[in-house]
Amino acid sequence: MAYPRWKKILADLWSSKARTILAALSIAVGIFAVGVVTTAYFLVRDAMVLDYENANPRTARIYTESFDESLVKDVAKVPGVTAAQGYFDAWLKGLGADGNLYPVDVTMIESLDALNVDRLVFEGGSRKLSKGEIYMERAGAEGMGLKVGSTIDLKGNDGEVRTLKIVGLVHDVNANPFRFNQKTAAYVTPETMSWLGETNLYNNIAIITDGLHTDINQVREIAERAAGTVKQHGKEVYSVNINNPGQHPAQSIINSVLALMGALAIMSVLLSIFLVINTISALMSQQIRQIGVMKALGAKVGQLICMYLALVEAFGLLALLIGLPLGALVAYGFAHWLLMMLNADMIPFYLPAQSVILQALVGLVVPLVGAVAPVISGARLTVREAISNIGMDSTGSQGWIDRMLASERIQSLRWPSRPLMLSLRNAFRRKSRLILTLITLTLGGAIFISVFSVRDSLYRELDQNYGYYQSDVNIEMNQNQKIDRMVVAVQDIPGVVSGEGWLSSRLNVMHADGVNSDLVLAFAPPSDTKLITPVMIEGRWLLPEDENGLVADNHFLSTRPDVKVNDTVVLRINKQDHLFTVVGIFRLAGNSTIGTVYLNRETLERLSGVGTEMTNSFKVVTTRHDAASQMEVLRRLQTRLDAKDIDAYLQTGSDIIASSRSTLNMLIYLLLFMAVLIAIVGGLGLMGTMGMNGIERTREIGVMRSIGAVNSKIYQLVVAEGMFIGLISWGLGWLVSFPIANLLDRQLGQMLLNVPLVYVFSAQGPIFWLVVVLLLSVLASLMPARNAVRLTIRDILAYE
Amino acid sequence: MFRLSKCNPKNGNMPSVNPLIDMRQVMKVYKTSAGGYQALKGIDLTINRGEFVGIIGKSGSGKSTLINMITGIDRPTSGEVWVAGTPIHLLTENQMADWRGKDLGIVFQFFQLLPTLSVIENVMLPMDFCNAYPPRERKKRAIELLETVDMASHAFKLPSALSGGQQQRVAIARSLANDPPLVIADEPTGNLDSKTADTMFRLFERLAGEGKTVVMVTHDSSLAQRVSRTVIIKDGEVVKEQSEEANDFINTVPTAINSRTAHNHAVATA
Repeated sequence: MAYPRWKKILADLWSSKARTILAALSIAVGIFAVGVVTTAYFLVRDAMVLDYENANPRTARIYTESFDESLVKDVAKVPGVTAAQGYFDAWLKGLGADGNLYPVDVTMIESLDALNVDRLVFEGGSRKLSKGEIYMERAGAEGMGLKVGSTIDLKGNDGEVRTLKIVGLVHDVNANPFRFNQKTAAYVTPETMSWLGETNLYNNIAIITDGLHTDINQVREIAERAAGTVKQHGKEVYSVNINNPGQHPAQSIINSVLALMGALAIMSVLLSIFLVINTISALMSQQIRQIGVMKALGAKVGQLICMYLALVEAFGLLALLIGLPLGALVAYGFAHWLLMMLNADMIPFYLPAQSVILQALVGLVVPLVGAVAPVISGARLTVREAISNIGMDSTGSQGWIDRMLASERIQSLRWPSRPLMLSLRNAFRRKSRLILTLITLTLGGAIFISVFSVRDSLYRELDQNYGYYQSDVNIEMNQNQKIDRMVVAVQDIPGVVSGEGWLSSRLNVMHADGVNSDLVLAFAPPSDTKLITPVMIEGRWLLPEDENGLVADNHFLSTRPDVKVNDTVVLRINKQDHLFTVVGIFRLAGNSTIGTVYLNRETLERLSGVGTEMTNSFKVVTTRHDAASQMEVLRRLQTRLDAKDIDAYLQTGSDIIASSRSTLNMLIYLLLFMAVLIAIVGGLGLMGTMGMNGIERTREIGVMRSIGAVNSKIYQLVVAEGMFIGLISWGLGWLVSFPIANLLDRQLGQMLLNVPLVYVFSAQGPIFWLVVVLLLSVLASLMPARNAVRLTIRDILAYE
Repeated sequence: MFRLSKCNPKNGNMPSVNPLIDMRQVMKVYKTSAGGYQALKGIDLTINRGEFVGIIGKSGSGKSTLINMITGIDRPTSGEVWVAGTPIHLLTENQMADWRGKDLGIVFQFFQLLPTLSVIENVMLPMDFCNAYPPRERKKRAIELLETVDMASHAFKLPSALSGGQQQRVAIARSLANDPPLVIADEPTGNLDSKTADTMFRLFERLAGEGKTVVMVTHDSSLAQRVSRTVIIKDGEVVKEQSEEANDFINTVPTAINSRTAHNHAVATA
């Protein structure tokens, strides 16, 4: 009580609850957005690091001829190698509970405890693994509907189906997340591997190198030494793969997600700053008369500035109370979802100090910075200016818009009507307020609209992927088959139109040292294929005469950024190195850690020595192209191939597309989440400003009522003004959305595809935002108008 | 009876030789879109300590501008304004605020109590801004001031719970918070009924009786006759300084009151 000026701050907070809530929410929005992004970032980062580190991950893998434990022991002694582990794996097909066959990468292990590189995390069941038993990767088991105690039918490469008992679940950080590509991993003992018709010797060795794992040159140097030891054992080294050492396999997806989230956070803070400036200037203009009175009573500028900055800090504190826990809650849920998608474990929740500090900055410092200008200009008004209320936002200034709206020609028009004209003039009356409101709303609208555009750019990429998957059913065979035999086998099946015989293989693109290499997926369609419509980034597609030509995709460029069109690269095919000229770079959407190349089938046949007119990947075109029809034909094809004793894995084109869509879909969901968040932020901003505008005009509404304006007319005036401002911001937002969308396209495309996304105009964004803006304008204007018409004229005219 | 101010030997009923307010050739020109508008045309005016002066004039005559020059709410375009030896035309905004808080009490026509503070807090506010009394004494002094205007029983109410007359009593108590030698009242009774206005006027008379210098703008003809001196303003100039002439003028005033009230409303709603 000794300090009434501080009591006034508290009383102002409490007496204008609507204003306090609006101001606190405006700030809380920024705190919330920053909280969600930063807290989720730290949670995901820490969880992924923990997940990855728990596995004691390899830094390099050397592929060679079959070997036993003695080679592993010698490689482990190579200087710089801290651990080595022999591996053998085979791709088999497992029957899910839904009756579908899924590719299962079965890896040979002695026991869980014997693994010292790429360790598996035991998730439940028995720790003892015997013959005829199998461990399943947890995400795959869940996806295939299998449990510990149940059995799985595995179809071997020899065509035999064997039943194994699932005795445990494990988590393999290197396994493909089942949700993305419907492939999984499983683990058996060497004895079981032999029983499955495979070898029980190793064919690759995983090593962990000393020093910094992210230093690719150091890793490569040590891996070369290890490869030398392999050669000393008389074994041929097929390839040495070093794929982003020290990084989680899903790191690039996480980077894209976090980059998007970062962009969201920056934009939200920017929006929040404008909201705060807007709110505080509105607050200051409401307080001008009181400022004048206080100055007349002896208040100094410094005292007033302190008082109002304290008020701003009180709003900030309130906002922190709202935004911080809410942000933490959503961040936890979001991180949980993301980690689940990536098949990683959530860590126990904690609030990262950096996140709290950042949120405190947004809550307490940003409002202060935003408020400084309006508070100082308010406090520095002279008593005369303040008391006569002509201070902060002069109502007397006559710009060209005011002059135009007040011109005789406009006034003599039949439309707009007088009340509507009054609304238009009112909208332009407080120009600095209008500008601030427009900046906030424009920014919100621009981000909202651009998010839809970026989403459509991603969809476009996905649609273009159809160009590479134009076959309706793909038949992947374990053994090469004569193309003629395949054509004869499928041609009379109802629904089948035609077929093309392709070859596909995993090849190594060698480095200049002749030892290290990068794995690529190689597809070799016939040179006259009709099943590819490529999207070229540079150069051209393959021609029939390109004997030693290849085209590579954007993902290949991320592992070999040095390669340009017309450069030559070395492909190791059938243990021989062959020079190929890169004739073009094509664009392939989706998140892939390895590159894809296409070469002519005739070339691959010749160099791999498989014989002529052979195929291991037969593409079937059907009469109808919908998913259901494709599946129907697939079933008929499966029956026919089983009858002909051709062991094959069949997949519809729709399934392949769906699989390639899964990672991009995750980003699209994230973008939509962004859009909703921005709509809330922008919406709140609009509600706030319109609300404040309305509160300021309470007295004016009283005057209008006193000269005969009925309530409906008042509503009409205020709502028209709100909608008018909303419409201007919508138009401006649309314009500003173009550069923002382009910027997001460039950043996201570079991160995801190594090339910028192509801008796509989306009609949905502007339409949705128009609806949102108009609805919010009406709501935000109605609230204060409703309050004003409920007061008596006498109350309103006495209104402070 | 409680005295409204601490006893100051310098503040007697009789004007001292040195004037408290000394305005020298004060001119005020406002810039408007139609060009310059001269609101005050070289005013020379002195007001002695302990005087109760009424400023009278038609709407737009320049009387509020004149008052604003004395309170420092506005600055002269040229000329000098000295109050108790302080050249207020030379003060910075902050110096002005400090001076105003300690040496001047202002009573507005529309009371201007802060709506979110209680009555007693409104009275304590100037003491808080000027750090005039030790914090623990402020409440006691505020209660005493409210007692003198018969408002102590309403001390903890919000202004919105009071009538216009009650609010103006509180405003008078607030103007005396830091015991200033000078009280300026801009049409303090303009928004009150005649009975309440009379009560309010008695309070000002009492203040003057206790040695305060009171300068009041008023339209009320009956009240204007009760001040010790009237200053009549017309077209930005002081035309008369005698009470008899003032009375003659005041008889013609009803039109002026109406137009002035309308003007105030217009400003308030702008």
